Amino acid sequence: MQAKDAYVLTTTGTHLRLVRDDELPAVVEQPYVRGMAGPGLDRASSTIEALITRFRTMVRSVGARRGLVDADLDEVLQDVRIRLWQAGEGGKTLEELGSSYLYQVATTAALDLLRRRRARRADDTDDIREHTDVITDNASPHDAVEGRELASKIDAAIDTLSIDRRVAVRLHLSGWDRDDIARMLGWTEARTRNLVYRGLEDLRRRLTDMGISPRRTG
Amino acid sequence: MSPDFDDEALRAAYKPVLQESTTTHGPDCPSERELLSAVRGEGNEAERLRVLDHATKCPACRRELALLHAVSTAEMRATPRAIRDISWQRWKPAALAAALVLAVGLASVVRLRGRDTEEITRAGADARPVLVSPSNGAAVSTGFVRFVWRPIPGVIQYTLEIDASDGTVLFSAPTRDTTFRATISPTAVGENRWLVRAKLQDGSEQRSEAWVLRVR
Repeated sequence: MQAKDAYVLTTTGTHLRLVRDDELPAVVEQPYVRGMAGPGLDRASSTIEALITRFRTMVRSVGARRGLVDADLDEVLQDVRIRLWQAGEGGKTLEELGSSYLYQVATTAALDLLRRRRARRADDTDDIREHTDVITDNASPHDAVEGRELASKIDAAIDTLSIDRRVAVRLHLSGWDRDDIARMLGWTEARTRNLVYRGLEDLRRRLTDMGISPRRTG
Repeated sequence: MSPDFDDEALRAAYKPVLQESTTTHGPDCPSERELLSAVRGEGNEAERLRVLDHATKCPACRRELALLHAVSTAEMRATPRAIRDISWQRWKPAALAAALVLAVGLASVVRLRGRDTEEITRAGADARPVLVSPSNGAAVSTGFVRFVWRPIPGVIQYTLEIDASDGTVLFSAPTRDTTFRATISPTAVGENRWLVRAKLQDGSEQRSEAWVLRVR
């Protein structure tokens, strides 16, 4: 590689930057590194890793109660990691990119992941459907089956609700909070609260009509 | 209504549905772009309802919705000002309408003192506000209607709320009293609900049952 084409990865704090080799200062005791190895690269790597770790923690805290699958998130973050390195190779610093860049990259990575998966599944013939049989700790297979049957009946009862209450109730029972529901549907907090409340009332009434009551355990 | 199926029991009973997981989509599944739009609250309400109605029932879409929401919400939290602006723009018409209704209602507030209030107070405190009058399912005429409920300890403020059957808030007014004289306008004709929310000193909120109020 000729000198004019040689690039090095540099990093200081949150900065990640690729610069021309001949732009490097003469002093070697600084956080720049020539080539793809050495302490500077380690620092760049650790900067990205620290960022990814913080981001992962934040995203998990948002998604854990709403059914986020860790494996999906990790797959997205691997893509994010690569894109951050590529951005560094383009001469950008994390500071220049801004904090929203990370979220944009993550959203794009998530969309790409889903697109790839859908395309792959369309070619597959097997329907990979998984059930987690753990209803409660130490639940017997019989309890697990009963639990699924009850859940299916509740799901069927929800189907009979009006669409706004149906969506509100399903989101509520799935762990989404009122702020999420209000934001997604453009409803006020009061309207969201009422639709959830009334939807649940309707659901209980339907379940009573269907002769369905909570399972007795213990 | 089954009294045993409280919120917690319903969530627990519904859990097996949520544990079903697949990445296989059907022909009716919305695209990943449509899911993202719904998560971000983009597009019209009917479209968002359609997408979310499917996505909350379909295991494959539900999983994708959770991923897109987690990433997207993190983005929104990083730009709180943008969110505030979007929210305000979206809710501005509703907020304006609510403000007009509230202005009319507040003009009719009469703070009751003396015997009535004492009798109501003696009725005893409860963990959450208990509605007294108008009774559940009562029919009232438009004009002045007096709402009464029992007090609970540690309250900073009560809020009387009247909601239409579709969940729209028709009337909302704060008060420190346990009675409120509100003006029911002709636009409220039909079946509504009324309830009281109590804001407590510890920052929590207690909410009464919602009683049916028929306005003729």
